[in-house]
Amino acid sequence: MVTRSLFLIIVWLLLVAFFSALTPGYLTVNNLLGMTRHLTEVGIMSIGMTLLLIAGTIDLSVASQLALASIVLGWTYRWGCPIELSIVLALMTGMTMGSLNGLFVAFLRFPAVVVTLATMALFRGLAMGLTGGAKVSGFPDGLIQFGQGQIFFIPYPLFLFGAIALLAGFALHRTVWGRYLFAIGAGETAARFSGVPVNGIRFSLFVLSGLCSGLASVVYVARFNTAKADAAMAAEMDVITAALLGGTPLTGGTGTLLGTIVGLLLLSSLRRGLDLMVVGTEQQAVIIGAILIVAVAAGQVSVSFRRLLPLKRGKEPEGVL
Amino acid sequence: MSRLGTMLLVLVLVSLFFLHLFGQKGKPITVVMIPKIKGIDYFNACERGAKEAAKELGNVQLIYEGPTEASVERQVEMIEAWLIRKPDVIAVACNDPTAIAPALKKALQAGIKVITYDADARRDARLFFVNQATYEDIAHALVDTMAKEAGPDAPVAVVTSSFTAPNQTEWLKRMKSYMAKKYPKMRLLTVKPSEESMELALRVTTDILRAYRDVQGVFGISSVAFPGAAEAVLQAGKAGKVAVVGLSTPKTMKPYVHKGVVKTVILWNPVDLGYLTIYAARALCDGTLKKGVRHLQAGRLGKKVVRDDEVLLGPPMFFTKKNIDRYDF
Repeated sequence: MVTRSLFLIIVWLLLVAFFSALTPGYLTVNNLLGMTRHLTEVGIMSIGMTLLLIAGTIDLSVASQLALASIVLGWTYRWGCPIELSIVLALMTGMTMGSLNGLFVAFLRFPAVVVTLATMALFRGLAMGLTGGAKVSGFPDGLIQFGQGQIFFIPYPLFLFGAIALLAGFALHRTVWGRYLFAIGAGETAARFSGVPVNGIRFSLFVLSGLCSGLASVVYVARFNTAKADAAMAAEMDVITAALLGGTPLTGGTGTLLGTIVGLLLLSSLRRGLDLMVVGTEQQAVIIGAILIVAVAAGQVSVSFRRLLPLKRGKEPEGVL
Repeated sequence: MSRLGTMLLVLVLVSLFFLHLFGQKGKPITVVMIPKIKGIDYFNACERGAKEAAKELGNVQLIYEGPTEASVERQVEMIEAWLIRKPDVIAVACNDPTAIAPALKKALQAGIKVITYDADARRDARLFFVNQATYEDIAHALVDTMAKEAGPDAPVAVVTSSFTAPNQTEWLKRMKSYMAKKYPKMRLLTVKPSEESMELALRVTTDILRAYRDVQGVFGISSVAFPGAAEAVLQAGKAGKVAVVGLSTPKTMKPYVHKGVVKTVILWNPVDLGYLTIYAARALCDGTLKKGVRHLQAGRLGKKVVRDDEVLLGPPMFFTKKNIDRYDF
């Protein structure tokens, strides 16, 4: 997996070199750091998504969760809550929505795709219904400064993303809980028989994903000074794309957060570069789709290739195919 | 000889002074135009007008690029990308007046001239708004047309998009006050929302026709409410008996005009809107469009009114059986 991330980093560097050669101003600290701003929410949600995918499950409702959490943030603030309390309420809303997903998937054993597809519509619909399409703005300066400002060209939300990524990385690679995720993703039955509390861990993952959406909603509101029901429309696509680009397969069992972060970098550099070269939005979708297919295919080829070699290093990673 | 030298020097100094005075006058400029959404008839028409103006002026390089969904997030991302390349003007049709404001302010701070067209941003986030039609003009045109087609004392109903949609709310407010003033006998029976669904518009209009047997006119004041209302009147067999007046694109309404359900479609010309936006961008760089100016010379459109920080396209356009086939937006 480390080699895969290395490969992706090289691809990313080549991409940056390519755009820098063609676009003046691309290779500046200001640009390279500034463009991450647009994927902070997606980035935060993709961390939760990576953990879910490693454990062999998925949450399609993340962007809808962001929207509903932003509505809670906005409306409680408008009704007179202090902003800190509104933020806490938004985070709690995120975790509640995550718990609902978790309840159905982990304990009632419904398929995750079906459940979260339903809640994707449900949460978004709830946000629309509660507000009737109205928006809230006029948030306090401190919050907007957090969303808009930067220190040494580093946008403030990037710090939040970094902190979340570090915490998640530690939990994933340095704790028993993290090992369990890989075990569940590699084979649920085996994990169950080995005494892994599969249901509890699955549930905790959905709650974490909800918390990530809640945090992302705070960044969203801060960045746009707006809470609205159609916030981050279809952003779950970018979230899943980043994780897949980073080499975490839909089938679970393997994956790294580093990969997802490089996936995010690839996405944001591509979008900024293509925007500056005035490549149409439609063509951009085609290009990003093609790169995703190549990235996934590259992963498959390397696995098949390894299979052809005499199996000296013991078992191959399960569940990649 | 030395006299000639002095004269030349003076000439150079004077011309430098004027160059300084006029700034970018006549210099080639780059204008980035960002529609709400790409690839729909309405904004394609805007683009056509903008290209026409850029070609006519000759010193405007036009870059036209926007999101494929009406997403303000994507618009913000594009605007911030443009901060790197610093075009002279950014002209945006905003998907959300507040959410887009911080990005536009950053552009202003970076020395880019920011204007909006079709849909405005918060006033402190742009220099000028190219306004396709004032709320008054639209409201008056709607009510006057209805009075002509259904009579000044007709009982009428309104099908709107939603009670929170900003444009529709403003139009309705002005329609009511104008009705009370100019046609005091015109009776407004009911106002029904249809959200953004033609199907719902069809349903609520059918209900209106059933509930109010005396209704003689229906306003459809959104681009989907209008065809929905027309379809309902057609299906109820009341074409020609109940007047349907509203705002939508000629392309959508063409079949209803030819079937005789609708006599007049009201809208502005989006081609002209795009055209005027480019002329406003050029004038802004030349210094001929600035605070306090009352008029703007805009090519084939002639002299256009500038009111405060808005450039006005002028009175709305009427599409009837005679001219509707000529338009493809």
